[in-house]
Amino acid sequence: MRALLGKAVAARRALALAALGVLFVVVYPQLATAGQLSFANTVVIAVVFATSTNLLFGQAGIPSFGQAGFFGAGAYAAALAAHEGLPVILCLLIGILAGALVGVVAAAVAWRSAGLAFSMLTLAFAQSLYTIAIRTDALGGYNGLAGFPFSRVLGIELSDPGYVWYFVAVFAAVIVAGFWQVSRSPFGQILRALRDDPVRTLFLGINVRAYRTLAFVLAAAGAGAAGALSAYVNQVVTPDSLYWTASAVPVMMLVLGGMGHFAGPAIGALLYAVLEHYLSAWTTSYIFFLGILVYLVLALLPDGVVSLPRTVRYWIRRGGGDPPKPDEVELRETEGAAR
Amino acid sequence: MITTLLTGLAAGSLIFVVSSGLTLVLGVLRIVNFAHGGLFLIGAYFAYQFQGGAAHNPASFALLVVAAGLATAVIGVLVERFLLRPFYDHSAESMLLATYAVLLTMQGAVQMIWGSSQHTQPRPEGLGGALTLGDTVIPRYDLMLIVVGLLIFGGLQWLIYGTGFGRQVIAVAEDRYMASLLGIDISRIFMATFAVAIFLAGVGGALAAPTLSMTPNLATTFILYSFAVVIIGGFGSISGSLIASLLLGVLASFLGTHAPELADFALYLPMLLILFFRPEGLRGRGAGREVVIA
Amino acid sequence: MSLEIELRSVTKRFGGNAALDGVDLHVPAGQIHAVIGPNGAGKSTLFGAVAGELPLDTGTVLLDGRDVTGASPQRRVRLGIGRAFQVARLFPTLSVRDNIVAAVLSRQGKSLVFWSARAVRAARVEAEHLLDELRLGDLTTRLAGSLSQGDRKRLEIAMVLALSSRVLLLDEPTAGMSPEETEATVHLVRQLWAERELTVLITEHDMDVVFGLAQAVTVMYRGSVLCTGDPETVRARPDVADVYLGGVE
Repeated sequence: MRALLGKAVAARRALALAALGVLFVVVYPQLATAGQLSFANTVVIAVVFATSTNLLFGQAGIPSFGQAGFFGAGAYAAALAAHEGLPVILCLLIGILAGALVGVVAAAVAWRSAGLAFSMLTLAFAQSLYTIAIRTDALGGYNGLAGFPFSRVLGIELSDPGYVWYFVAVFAAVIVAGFWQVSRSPFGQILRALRDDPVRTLFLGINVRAYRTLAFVLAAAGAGAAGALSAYVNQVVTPDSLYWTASAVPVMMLVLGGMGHFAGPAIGALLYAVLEHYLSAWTTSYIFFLGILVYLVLALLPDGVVSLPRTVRYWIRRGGGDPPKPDEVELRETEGAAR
Repeated sequence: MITTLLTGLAAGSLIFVVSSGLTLVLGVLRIVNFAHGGLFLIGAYFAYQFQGGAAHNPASFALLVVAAGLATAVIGVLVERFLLRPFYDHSAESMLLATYAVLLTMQGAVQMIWGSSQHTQPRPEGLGGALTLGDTVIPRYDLMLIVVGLLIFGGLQWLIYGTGFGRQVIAVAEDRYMASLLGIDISRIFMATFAVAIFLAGVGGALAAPTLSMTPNLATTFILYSFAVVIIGGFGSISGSLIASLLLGVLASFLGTHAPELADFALYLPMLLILFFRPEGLRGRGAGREVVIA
Repeated sequence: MSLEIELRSVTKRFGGNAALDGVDLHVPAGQIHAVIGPNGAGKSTLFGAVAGELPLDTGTVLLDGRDVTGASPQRRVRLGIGRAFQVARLFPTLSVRDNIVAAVLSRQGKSLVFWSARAVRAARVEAEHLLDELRLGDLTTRLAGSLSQGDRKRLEIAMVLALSSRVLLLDEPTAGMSPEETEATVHLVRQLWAERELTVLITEHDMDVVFGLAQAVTVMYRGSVLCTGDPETVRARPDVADVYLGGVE
C-alpha cells in the first residue's frame, strides 16, 4: 500500500515536472539572449550524450572510454548528409545510424578483451577515428567540416535560433525518453543483472555477449544522436570532438550527477556545462579547478549530487559518518525505476 | 635506412621509459593510471626549470634529469598516498576517473605555472650534433636515449628479479591476498612501486623535453603511446613493454620517412594486428590473468 | 516432465591430474541423486560437466538421450538444466523480486525486448507469486545482497525454479546454514521435487541431509566412481567408510 501510494505520488510529481519542462522549453527563447539560448542547446546535447553513456556505466557495468568516437561519427555523418542537401530530420537519423554502425565495429574489436583492457581499447578505438578524421581530406582534416546549412523541416526554415531550440529540445526529449524506456524494459532489467553477476546471468540462459553488444550499440547510437545535434546546432564539426579526452567528458558528467539514477547523468551534464562555461570564462587554466571538483565529488559523493539530499539528511540526523546506501527498493522506486 | 632505424629505436626507448612505469602500476596496483601522463608532463617542466632552459654539460644534465625524476616521484608518492589510496576499495571505473581528475588538475597546474605557450629546452652540450659513419647520420642524443632505455630496462630487471623487494613485488602482483598472508606489507609495496613508476615518468619527461616543444598538451598525447604499448606488449609485462615500445618507435620512424601520410597510424596498426592474433598481448597471459611482471 | 541425465566415460584433466577419470553416471528421470566423496574427489568438476562449464577431454553427456556434450551452458539452461552454486550467485544490488524477474524474462524469451516495459510488469507479478509460494514473500523488496546466507540460497533455488528447469543441480545446498535453515532447505527441496517433478542432482557434506533426501547415492574418490546404489546399501559398504576415514574428512 505504501509502495502504491509512493508510486502515485511519484507519477504525479513526474507529470508536474514534465509540464514544467514543456513550459520552460516553450517560453525560454522569449526570455533568453542568443548566448543563453546557445548555451541551453549545449546543455541539452550534453544531456543526451551523458544519458546514453549511462546505459553502459550505470546499467550494464561496461566501462567504455571511447564514447567520443560515436559522438564524432554522428556529427561527421550528419554534417556530410547536410552537405548533400538532405532534410534535417534525415541528417539526424543518419547521424544516429552512423554512431550505431561504428559502435558495431568498435564492439567487435573491443570485446576481444575485458576489464581494464576493454576501457583502454575503446579509448584507442575512438582515438583511431580522430587520426582518420585529421588525415582525410573529405572530412576537412584538422579544420573539420563547416558551412553545411541544414534545410527545412516540414516547410519551416530552421535557421531561426528559437526554432533551432525547439527542434533540438524535442528531438533530445525523444532520445532521452527512448533511453528511459530501455532502462525499464526487460533488456534493461537483464543488463543490471549482468552488471551484478555475469556468471549467474549465463546460467539463467542469457547470451551475455549479445546483451553487452546490444547495450554498446544502443549507447553508441545515442552518442551519435548527440553528435548529430551538435553538428546541427554549431554548424561546424571539428576532429577535437573525437580526441580521447572528449570521451572522458560524458563519464565526468555521470560521476558528477550520479550513475545510480536515471536523472543523474542529465543533472551531471547540466552541472558540468555550467562549471565549464563559467570556469573557462574566468580562467584559462579551468581544467585545474574542474579536475579538483570532479575528484571531490568522486571522493565525497560517490553516488553523485543526486545523492546529496540523502547524504545531507543523514549527516543532520547522525552527525557524521559515511552516508547510507539505499537499502530498501521502495526508496529506489519512488526515486525512479532507473537502476 | 640505419638512420631511420636508430631514430625509431631512440623514440621507442623514450616511450619505453614512460610506459614501463604505467605497466608497473597496472601490474602491481591494477590501476590504469591516467595521471601518469600528468607526471610525465611535470617531469618535463621540472627538467626545463632546473636547467633554466639552457644547455649544460652532460654530467650536470644527467644530474638534473635524475633530480627532475626524483622531484616528480615525490609528487607521485603524495598523489598515491593521499589521492589514490582512498579509491582502492572502489570500483575500477571510479579509480580510473579519479586518476583522470588528477591528470586534469596537473595539466591545469602546469598551465598556471608555466603558461600554455611553447617552451623549448636545448640539448646538453656535446650531445647536440650527430655522428657520421659513412652515409649514416646518427644524432648523439638519440644514441644516448637508446643507451639510457637499455640501462633502465636492465635496472628494472635487476630490481624485480635480483632483489628481495622485487620478489615481494611479484608476490603482490600475482596474488595480493596470499602476499598479505605471507606478511608482506601491501601498502608499502604499492607506495614503493608507485614511486619507482613515477620516477620513470619524470625521467621520461626530462629526457623528452629537449626533443620536442613543450606544451601542457603533451600529457594527453604521451599517455596514448603508453596505452598502446600496454595493449601490444601485454598487461603488466615489462619485457613486453620494451618490445612494443621499440616496435612502435621504429614503425613510426619508417612510416614517417617512407609513407608520411600513414605515420599517424603507427599506433593502431600493430594494436589491431595484436588484437586479432594474440589478444593477450605479446607477453601477456590472457584474459583473467592480467597480471604479469616479467 | 523431469529429465534423465547420463554421463558416459567422462574424463577431464587439469594439467596432468584427472579430475574426472572415465566417470559413468546415470540419474533416472525424477530421482534425487546425491554425489558424495571427500574433498578433491571430483564432485565440482562433475557438476561442471553436467552444467557445461568446462569442455571435456573425452566422454559423452546425455540429457534424456540427447547428446549435449558440446552444448554451451546457456543452451543447457534452455534444455532444462538449472544450477545453484556452492556460494549462491545472485544479483546483489537488485531486489529479491527483480532477481526472479530476470529468470522469468529469460525463460519467456522476452529478455531482448528493449522498447517496452510491459513484460517486466507481468514478470513481477509472476515473481511475487513464486516468492509467496516459497514463503519468501516478505523479502520481496529487500536487496538480494542484504539477505542472510540461508535466504540467499533459497532465493537462488527460486531463480532456478522461475526458469522452469526440470533438472536441479544443487552444489552443497546447506553449506554454511544453521541447523534450522538446513532442515527448512531439506524440506523445501523435497517439497519442490514432489510438486514439480524434478530430477535433482546434489552434492553435500552433511550426511544427514544426504541420507534424508537421496534415493540414490554415488560415492566418488579421486576422480572415479567408487560405487552407486541406494543409501542403505552404500552406507553399509566397508570401502565407503575407508574412503571417508582415510580421506580428508
